[in-house]
Amino acid sequence: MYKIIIVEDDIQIREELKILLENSGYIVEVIKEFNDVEEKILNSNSNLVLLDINLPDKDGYHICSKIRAVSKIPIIFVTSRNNSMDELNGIMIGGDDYIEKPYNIPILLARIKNILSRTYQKEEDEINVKYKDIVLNILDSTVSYKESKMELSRTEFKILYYLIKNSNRIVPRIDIVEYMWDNQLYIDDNTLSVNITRIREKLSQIHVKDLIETKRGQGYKLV
Amino acid sequence: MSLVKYIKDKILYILVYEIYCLFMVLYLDAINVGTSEIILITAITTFIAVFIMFLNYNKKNRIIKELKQTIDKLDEKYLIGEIMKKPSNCELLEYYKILKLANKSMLDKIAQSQRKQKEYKEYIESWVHEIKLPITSIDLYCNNNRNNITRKIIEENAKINNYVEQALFYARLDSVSNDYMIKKTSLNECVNNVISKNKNALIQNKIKIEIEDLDIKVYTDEKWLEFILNQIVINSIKYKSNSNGPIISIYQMENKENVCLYIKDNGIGIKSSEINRVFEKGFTGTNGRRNIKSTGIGLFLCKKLCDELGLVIQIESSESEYTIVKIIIPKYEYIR
Repeated sequence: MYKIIIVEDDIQIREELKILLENSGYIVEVIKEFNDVEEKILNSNSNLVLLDINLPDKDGYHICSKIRAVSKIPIIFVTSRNNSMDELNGIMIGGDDYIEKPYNIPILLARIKNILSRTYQKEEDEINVKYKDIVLNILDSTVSYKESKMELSRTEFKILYYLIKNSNRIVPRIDIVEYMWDNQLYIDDNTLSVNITRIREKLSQIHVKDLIETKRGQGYKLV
Repeated sequence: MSLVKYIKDKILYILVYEIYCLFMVLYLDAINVGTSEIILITAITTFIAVFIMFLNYNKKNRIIKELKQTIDKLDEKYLIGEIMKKPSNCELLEYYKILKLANKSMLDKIAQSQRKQKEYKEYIESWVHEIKLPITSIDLYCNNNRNNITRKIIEENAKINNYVEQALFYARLDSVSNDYMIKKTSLNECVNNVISKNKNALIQNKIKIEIEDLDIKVYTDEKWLEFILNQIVINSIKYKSNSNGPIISIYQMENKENVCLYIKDNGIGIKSSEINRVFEKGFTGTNGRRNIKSTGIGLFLCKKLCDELGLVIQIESSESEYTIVKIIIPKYEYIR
């Protein structure tokens, strides 16, 4: 699991961002006192820094250049300053990315993920996702159960993937639709129903029956 | 300054001179000066008077001509007081002093209003910067606690954010040229970011998105292009038709020099009588009046920013059928 450290002086944003990142599967540390921020970052053993520019003591650029002198830890500037000079400044000084507030949350998460996998290249990225005996293979977009295997379309695959990742709860239809949109698959409610039906058909061909249960008025749940 | 007008101005002097001549002739005649002497004296006096008047005219005319030429060459004509030569003539000197004074007070006023404008612009920028913090935290709160109400709040929050962005771009209009950064930009990414920004509104309004192969890179300012596309997509959502299932399709066509990006919707469209005016500032049209949320700023800003970036924006529509916005983006070799 990757660890992210947040340097942000707005308390509300800091706390909610922490929750968001923890929900996305990261370990999160926040900085609350803004003296010796560089030291704190370097001592925290984090894999990535989310760095605000306007900070009470020294600004983010200063902190970034201090860190760059000794470490290559990825730094993403997160700020509501948004003119091109600020952005250029951030990149010149050694920031890996520059994201404006209010950030688009899926985009923020995607950028964090990209930078982490680019920097660490540990094959921590999952290839297989398992639920009971059912295995989703991300590389060739297939679902397999025991010996049998079935190809899925990108949409079908993503839906099943999301359901498996959230198998501990009832997943509302709208959650699935939003997740698909975050992955550039712009489906609507009807298309979702069609795809669920298709997934069920394909699953039954590999002898998986009644995996996806419809909870009327609430959504879907894996059984 | 024509001679005739000058003479008309001096008519009082001439009249006084005539009367003086008349009295002089009468007087000379009374003291028995000979007729030929009287004629000679009168002729000489008149000659001298006319000569002086002519010299005077010539001099003033020359000064004024010079001044006219100088002001013609000036871009900012109000600066004439600063660069005109100081006249030696005492009458003109008074005018000169008055002009200087008037000029100085004008320059002070201009400087003052420029300073005010700059302060105001800086205030708007810092205000935008400040208000983005609560917008961000509202968005985070809602995303961490998703339900039907927070989804609505996210949608409204996105509207607030767009109005704030509009204010920022509007405030920067005069100084835009020093705030863009041309770089290699993925059209696909830009479009998907804009869709993502409007995700909640699009899903809530059951709008279908069709994106065709946009796998192309252009050289432009990413932030500006996204802002422009965002205005267009927001318009498509605002003016969707209620009768048929709303669709927004985005596609591109490419030729040797340009990439043309098309954003097409099947919304209520624009009247052909109004289509030429949609880029005007504050123009709301029939649709805007029917839909009170229109401000007439979005497309105005689009046009301004496109002009600045060297893009061409065109709009085509058929009422209650469709609207197509076309943005022509030159490939980088052709950027001015």
